[in-house]
Amino acid sequence: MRSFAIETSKLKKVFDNQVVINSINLQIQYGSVTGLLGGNGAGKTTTLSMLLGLLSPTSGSIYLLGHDLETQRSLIAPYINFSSPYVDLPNRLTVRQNLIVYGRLYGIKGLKDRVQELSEKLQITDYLDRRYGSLSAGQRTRASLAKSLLNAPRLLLLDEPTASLDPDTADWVRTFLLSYCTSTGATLFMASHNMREVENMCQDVIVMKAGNIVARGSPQNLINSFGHSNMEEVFLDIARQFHRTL
Amino acid sequence: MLISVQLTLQRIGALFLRHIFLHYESWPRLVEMLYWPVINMATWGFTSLYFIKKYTDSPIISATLVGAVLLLEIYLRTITNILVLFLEEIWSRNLGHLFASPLSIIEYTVSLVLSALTRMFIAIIPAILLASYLFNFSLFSLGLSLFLYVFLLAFNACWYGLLVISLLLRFGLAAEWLGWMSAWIMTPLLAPYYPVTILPPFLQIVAYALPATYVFESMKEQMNQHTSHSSNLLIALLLNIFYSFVAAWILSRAYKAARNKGSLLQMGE
Repeated sequence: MRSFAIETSKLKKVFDNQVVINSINLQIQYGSVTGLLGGNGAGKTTTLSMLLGLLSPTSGSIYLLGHDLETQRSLIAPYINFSSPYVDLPNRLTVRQNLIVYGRLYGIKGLKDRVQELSEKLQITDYLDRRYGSLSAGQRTRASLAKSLLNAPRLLLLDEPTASLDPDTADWVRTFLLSYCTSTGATLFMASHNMREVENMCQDVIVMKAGNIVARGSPQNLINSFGHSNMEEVFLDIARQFHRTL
Repeated sequence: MLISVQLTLQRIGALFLRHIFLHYESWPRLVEMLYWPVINMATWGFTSLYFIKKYTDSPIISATLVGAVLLLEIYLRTITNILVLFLEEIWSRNLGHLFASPLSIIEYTVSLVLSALTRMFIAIIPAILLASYLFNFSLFSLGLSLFLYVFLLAFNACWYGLLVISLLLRFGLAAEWLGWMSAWIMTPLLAPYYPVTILPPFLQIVAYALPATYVFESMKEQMNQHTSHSSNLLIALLLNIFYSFVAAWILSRAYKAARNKGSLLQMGE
């Protein structure tokens, strides 16, 4: 049994002779909240897509919850879930219909009660019977989170979970996610552009640049080692070093 | 094992339910579903009546034409339904959610085919009733052969539909127009309304490589001469089995290519 929730070895992705992920090794502890930082094109979404099995690596291996993703996906998939602004739920279906369909896909027992429980926790009861396509960005995020929590995932992968949300809703989502991870012991791995979010939520931060991992540590360690006062300055420092090397 | 089968059925059912939900409150989708079989039935039915009045007194010609329209609708609607239901996932940018879930590509395909067949059977009912009311033709007059015809045409349409969605998986939404076009491209070669021998010799070779051609030949033979060669239907079955393996292989390659390119996450409007 492997001792990490996520473990990749020499994970590489090449698109049209361009290396977008360059042999990265990841070890993510069970129960941790880890942030994946990086500028546009750093490889965050590509990494998440490979972890979800939606994108095949060119080479390297991925182990999730102790199982090989390539050969044992059917064993892992029921215990993982995700949310991403790049993927929608069917707009024509109501939130409830979406949750019922995905609940069945994930083989949830007591689905009706689970939908009710999540609706109350995520405060979406009022628009459960509205079409997903008619919801505001904040409402969509909550509904999408409800879908991603249907199977009470042991591993939750999120891509920019608070993108395009107002500060109040974003703060509510962050608090909710932390409370979920604390109460269930789930592992949260999230890509984000929001430095304050990462600083406040994550015990571990991985910074990517041009497909490579260029820095890793707790937010405080990174801030100290780069000699800055916050993660935003660390991020800018790394990004500008990159531009200088160009 | 039993639990695994149960979960597989549950996932296939979940996706089937997704399509029911999609149509449940969407009257444009319901109208579109019923529209083409009825319109085609009416157009060809009245055309055949005109020809009878003008050139011949033989009602067999009309019956053959109307029967061919209905059988062709079964074939075409199944293909276009597979295409439309797959496009619904692309349009709603939902493929990523589906394929990150425990759903496998095989389960997805089975569910897609079941949903497409259900949609086709519902759509064809008004056209059958119209044929009976306006043109005094009952599709059931074909007797037990009708079930074989429907089975073989739907079988043909299913593997062909899977080839069409392989195109979309491989080339993305840019190939949508190609998908629509390819649904109809084989129709003239199937010789639904005329004998295959009308086609130029080189096209006859292609036509005889298609299972549906044998079904239409059988149907016309039955209507005109009241005889039917079961060998035609056996050839159609064997060709269908062969092509369905080829289509499954191509679909699996297209799915693999989509995972290599990352299209499952990016495909959408």
